[in-house]
Amino acid sequence: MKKDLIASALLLAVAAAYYVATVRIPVSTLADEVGPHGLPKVLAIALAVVAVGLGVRALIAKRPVTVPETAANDDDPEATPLRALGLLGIGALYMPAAWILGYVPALILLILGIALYEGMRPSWRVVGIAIGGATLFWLLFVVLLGVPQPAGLLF
Amino acid sequence: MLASPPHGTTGRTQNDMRISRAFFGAAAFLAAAFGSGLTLAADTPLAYPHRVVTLVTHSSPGGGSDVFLRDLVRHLRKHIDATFIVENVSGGSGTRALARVANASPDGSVLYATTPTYILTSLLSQAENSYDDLEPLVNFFTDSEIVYTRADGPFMTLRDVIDHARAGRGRWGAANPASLERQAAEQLKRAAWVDAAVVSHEGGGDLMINVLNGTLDIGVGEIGETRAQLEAGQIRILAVFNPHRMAAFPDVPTVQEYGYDVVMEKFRGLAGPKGLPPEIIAIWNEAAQRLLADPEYVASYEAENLFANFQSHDDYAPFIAEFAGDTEGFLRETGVIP
Amino acid sequence: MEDFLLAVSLLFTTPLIAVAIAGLVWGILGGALPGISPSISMALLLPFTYTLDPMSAIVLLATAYIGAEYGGSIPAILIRTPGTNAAAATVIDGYEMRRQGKGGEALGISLWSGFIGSMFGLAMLVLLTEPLSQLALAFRPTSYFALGVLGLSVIASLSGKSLLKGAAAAILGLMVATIGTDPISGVGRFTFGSPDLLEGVAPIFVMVGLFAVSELMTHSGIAAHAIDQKETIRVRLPSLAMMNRLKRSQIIGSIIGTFEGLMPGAGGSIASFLSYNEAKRWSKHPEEFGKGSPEGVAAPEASNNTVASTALIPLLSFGIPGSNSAAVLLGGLLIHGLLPGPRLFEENTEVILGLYMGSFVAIVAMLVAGILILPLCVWLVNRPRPYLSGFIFALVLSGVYTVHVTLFDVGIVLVAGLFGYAMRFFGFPFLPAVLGVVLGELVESNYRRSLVLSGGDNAIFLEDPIAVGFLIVAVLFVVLALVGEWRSAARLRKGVKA
Repeated sequence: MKKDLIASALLLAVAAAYYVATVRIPVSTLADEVGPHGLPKVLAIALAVVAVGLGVRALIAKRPVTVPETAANDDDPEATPLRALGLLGIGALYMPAAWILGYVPALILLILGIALYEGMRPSWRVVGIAIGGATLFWLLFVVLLGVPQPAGLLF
Repeated sequence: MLASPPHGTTGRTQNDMRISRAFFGAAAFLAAAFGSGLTLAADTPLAYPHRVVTLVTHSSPGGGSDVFLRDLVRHLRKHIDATFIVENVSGGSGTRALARVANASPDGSVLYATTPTYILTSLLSQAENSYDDLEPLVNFFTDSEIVYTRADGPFMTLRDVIDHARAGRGRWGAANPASLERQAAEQLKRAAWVDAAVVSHEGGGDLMINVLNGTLDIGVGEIGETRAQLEAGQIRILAVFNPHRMAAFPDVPTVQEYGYDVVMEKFRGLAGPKGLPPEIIAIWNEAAQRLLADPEYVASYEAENLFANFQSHDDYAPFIAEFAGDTEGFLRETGVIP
Repeated sequence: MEDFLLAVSLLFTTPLIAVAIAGLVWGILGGALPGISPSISMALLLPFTYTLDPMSAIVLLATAYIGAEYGGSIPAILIRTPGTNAAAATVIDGYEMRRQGKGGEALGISLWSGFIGSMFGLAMLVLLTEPLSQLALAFRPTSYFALGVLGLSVIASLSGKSLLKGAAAAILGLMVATIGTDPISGVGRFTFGSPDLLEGVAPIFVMVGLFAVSELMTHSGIAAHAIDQKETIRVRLPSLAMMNRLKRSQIIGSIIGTFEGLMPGAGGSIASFLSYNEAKRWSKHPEEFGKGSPEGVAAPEASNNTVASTALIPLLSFGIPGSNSAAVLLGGLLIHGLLPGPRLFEENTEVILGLYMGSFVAIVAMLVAGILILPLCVWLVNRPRPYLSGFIFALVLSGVYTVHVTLFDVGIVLVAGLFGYAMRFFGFPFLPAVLGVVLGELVESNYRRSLVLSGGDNAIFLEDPIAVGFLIVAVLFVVLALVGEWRSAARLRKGVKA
């Protein structure tokens, strides 16, 4: 139940931050009686109450009444948090890459990076698949559908 | 609809609605254009320093300004010797398109389709580029903003509506929260000194349903988006916010005629980056007048209740500045922006 | 009868069949790509319709809508990425089935249910437009508020193991929904001056982040996750026995879909979730829901495909688009000088008949197209996992970029992925959060709109019979779910003691 205690603290923090942010909402005479602040304030308070509830329950529960927390994923091996965040980090690098290099080069790097991160041994084949895949996406989105993708600063 | 994330229908954002509303008016506008045939105009096109001119709009393909531009381009070719390309720059509630034009070279090769939206968006967001970074070029049209009610309802004139609001509590509707229509309704409410609830919606469709089912006394909206109901005889126009009566509806009085000093003009024109050269401005002043007199173009825009409202660069810049000033004043006074 | 003959003759005298199939395939493609919503798929077609005759133009757009609503389920099942908002409910059991190696079966079920739902919707459109359009007019802001509350009440039964955690997730979802321009006053909320946030956070970003990105993160580096039972990945339509079993959930889905389609602003995603919940309630195997229930795939898919047809009812009868997709179709009508409304049926009978016939052709073609396209999709997702992860990431990030054409949205999806990972780590359910994001604005704006109308008096909700009905049902849902939870907890406690 330690996880629940941490979650409760995190939720309390979110509720507090959100409540503080409601103060920045401008007051308008076009607003109704509930106003743009109405729901956000209620939500912040409700979240705080739920968070406290979770915390209290975690403290008083001597033994878990409900059996394992992630029952659905019992038999399912999961990545360590660090590893999972690493994957997200590669995704995040796509943003500056696309901004600077443009769509296709950024996609090549993204696919290549993830394939290697996920355990492919570096080889020309991996590079080839990354280039092929990026080209395929470019054909699909830009050529066939005609929707714009990042242009990049360099070209 | 690239500009709007139409993700299902529930998470509709204001921009989605603005665009789907735009479909009413603008698509109908294009429809009229298709009706007229294409023949060559007699006068020769004016020379232009650029072969290709990009007309930028915040509206997505099929949206209001997009259709305005595409129809404009169709007829413009006869009057200016250049190739015109319409570029849809969507996102950021229109601020992205503003940035695209504001940062372009001010040589007349990149222009922007103006509507009140670009002023409102600039005022409501703290985006890097605002309407101030653009130079108004020429104006073409005024769209009509009207007050309408359901045909089988009790209100025969705007006076009835005002009297009803004075006696009890009026229920008025506008399509979007911070829109020209909302502004019109709020100003009418003040001018008439009545206590009416002004309910904003998520687009013209929502608003129309609430007028038709009697939830609202009146709706304030663009005439283009009420066409289906008008032709089916389901609604009645009570007044128009234009300074003059509409040619197609000469019996409908203006709001001013009722004694309330509220005028709203939804303008449609072009602007460019700050510092457009005088020769470019001169070409457009000339071409716009020729274009608006082109019989084929006249037939197409009149069918849509668009008023030709030519303003040369010299008039348009002060007009936009005044409009922006009024709008900003309204938004500040009501506290929408600090 | 005369109309029927005319409709049939259209099949042979016009390029109707080709147009319908083209629209359908385009729609499936767009729907299957996350971020390319049904309305974007249709809007991309709009320029092509300028040169077509009115009937073909409308058929092209309408069939793209049908295809897109179906297409959204394909990535939902295969890669846990809803292609459209309305496919979010399909993720639950569809992806679970795939994890169990029953992906081919799930795809078959979704295809079959999409077919049933679309046919049902088309029948409603053809036969009942008149009475149903009157119903569409009866919905007031009070009714919409109550509808939203009804949708939120489903959270009580979708929360899984802990109602408290479900509530927390729902509140987080509602908080995300408050970002953007305030629906009543127009002031910016939590936008911090950023123009990218003025329009709010699109629900699809949250869904893709929560479901897809967090899934990739959770299973990073785990090779065993790929499916190896080769014989079960073949796409196959349900057997007769299975069809029989699915019947009930499909009927539920189709009926709910019909009504949601009528209500501008409600639309596919609420219908899907409500159908999922009801199918579970009336199922003979409610315990399988969430663990790979075929009915859990059938209900939402039948429902969102029904919406694609019934959403046209308010559009054709009043010219009021019930959804963004319907708005694009309206654009298509107006461009060709067709004004929706009662007169459309009289003056342009051919266009209406063509629309009916084209939709029919597309729905039948959907079965064939599905059987042809799906094996390719299944092959694609059976590539080595490192590549698959890379391609899913690339697909998701490319897709979301198209929504507003900004990398900012890519960032939103990644943040949503981080949230999703954290929620999963701490054992919080996703579905309440998704419902919160989807329903937040509907509930809030219509509550406030109602109070503006009444001058602040809550009694206005009691004056609207539709609202009263919805609210009573919502309360019942919550009470039933609470009783259920209490009972199972009590049983568990007894079991522990004994």
